[in-house]
Amino acid sequence: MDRRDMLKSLSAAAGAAVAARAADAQQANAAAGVELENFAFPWDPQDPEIPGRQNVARVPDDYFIPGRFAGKTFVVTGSARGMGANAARRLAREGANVVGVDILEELGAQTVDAIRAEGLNATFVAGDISQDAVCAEMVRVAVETYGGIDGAINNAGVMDALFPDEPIDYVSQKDRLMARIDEAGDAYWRRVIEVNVNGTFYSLRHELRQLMKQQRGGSIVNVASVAGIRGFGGTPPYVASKTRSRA
Amino acid sequence: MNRRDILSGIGGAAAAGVAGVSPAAAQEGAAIPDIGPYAEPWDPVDPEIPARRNVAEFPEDYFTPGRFAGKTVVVTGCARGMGRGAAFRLAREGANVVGVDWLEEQGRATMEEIAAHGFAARFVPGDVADDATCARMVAVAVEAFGGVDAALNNAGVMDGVFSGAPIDYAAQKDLVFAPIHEATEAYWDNVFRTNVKGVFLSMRHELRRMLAQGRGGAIVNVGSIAGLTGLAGNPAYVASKHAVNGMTRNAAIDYAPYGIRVNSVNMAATDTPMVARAGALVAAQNAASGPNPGMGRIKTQSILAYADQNHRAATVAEQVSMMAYLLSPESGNMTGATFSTDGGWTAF
Repeated sequence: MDRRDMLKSLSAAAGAAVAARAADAQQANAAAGVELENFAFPWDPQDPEIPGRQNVARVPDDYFIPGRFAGKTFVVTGSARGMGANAARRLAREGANVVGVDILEELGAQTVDAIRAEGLNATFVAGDISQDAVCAEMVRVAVETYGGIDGAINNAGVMDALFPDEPIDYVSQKDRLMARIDEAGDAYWRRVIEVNVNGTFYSLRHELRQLMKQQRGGSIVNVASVAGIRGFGGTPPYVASKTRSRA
Repeated sequence: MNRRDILSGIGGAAAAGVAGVSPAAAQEGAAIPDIGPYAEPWDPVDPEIPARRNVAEFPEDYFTPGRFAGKTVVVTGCARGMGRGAAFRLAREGANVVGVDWLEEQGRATMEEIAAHGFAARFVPGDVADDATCARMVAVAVEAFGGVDAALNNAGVMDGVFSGAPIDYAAQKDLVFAPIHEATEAYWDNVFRTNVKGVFLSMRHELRRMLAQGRGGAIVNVGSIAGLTGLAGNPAYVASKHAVNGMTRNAAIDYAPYGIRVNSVNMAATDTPMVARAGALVAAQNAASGPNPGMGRIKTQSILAYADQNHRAATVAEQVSMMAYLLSPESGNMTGATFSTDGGWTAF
């Protein structure tokens, strides 16, 4: 049966209610903003030995699912850049109110300003999630601005003890950089554990206290790493901290 | 900022150079499905823990608009349960769907129902462990819709009885699950025939077509928690679902160079006719042979089933949601993964 035949049989078989449902789906499909196109694209230039080689297509950075988070509020830690920035923007585009948190004050504010410039709802809280008071503040701001939280992406994390935008100068920073255990400095270990473990704990504690108070459920995603599942050379506290995040 | 403010803000956002349909405008469409709340209060309230909540079921017709526009997907085991739910959702999301099932009458009815909703659907009757069925399902996809972009290899069984036959334990005893020392070869062979050979043959034809097309694709195999952990009383099911996960990992490696991703989903108890049938067979088995350790007694509930007031199983819609994501180009970085879509079953 081809499409035309189907449409013909539609009115005969099922009547107006069915037609309305198909029309709803088609209308919603037409309203979707960003399209996913191909699964993959051929290599260019092609591999002469395996001409069929394909690269998996990138998901467009601005792809989103309309309406999925309408009226919901999320905290996103580490929202200034990278995955946190993309998550904050996508959640907002899907209808969420977003409270972004980052130690990078200027960049964090810019990221949130760009979301607001789209006419979407976002608020920035500057601070270090390894401080309990910052985690208290991010939830307080969410409640005050948007009336509560529905969940969080605990995404803020570090691989070393440098400030996230500190220029690299290996010799002077050696004590704070990733190293094997026998060469690892105290400052390096302490900071990675402070952020990835204590910070995730403080974030969860304040988020869960609020979710428990609201009594309407919710959903939290913690960002770990392959280092939370497998060994990963040269970064002992990172592996240890991400393994703990799984618990 | 409330909804009206968002809408009034669109003009400014568009002027600022937001390409295409703005997010706020996209959400204006009245047809955007509503997914509902995260959780609902217990009813009646637990007097000892008044804060208890059940995770909410979301509507079975929830879908992600436009995600499969112009794509063609093969769904095996489409007659009922998760296959039927997946075929409906994929069609709503814009896909052309080719459904396959050995339950000819029910399978045809499902695909005709989807077509009657105005969507593009075809039905191929047959057994996925028969190579000709798998060749046919791909041929139909090509003839009707020009190719295959994705496939959900969902057809599977928990025992060796034909799933269309009414339960008659005494007559079917030799085809029903049993611990290894009591298990028959017929039970073992039938379960492996559908679950392992069926997935192999399905993937063989799907992959041949995807390779010929040269535009990548996505395959999702339906595993089970029995493909990740042990499960009492059903050795062939456990071993066959482990094999599904093994094939998934193998295919992920072999076809990554061609832009084809392969993943599996592994659910705990889900509200489907297959699981209901298995429950009825277990009851008949217990009635016939008296108390025994039985299937599933060592661990019977996922985290979410344990916490739910009615100990509810996963819904078809909850399972289909992850399948559809993995079948779409949206899951571009996912391959070779055996996802635990199990309400937390494998977390403890």
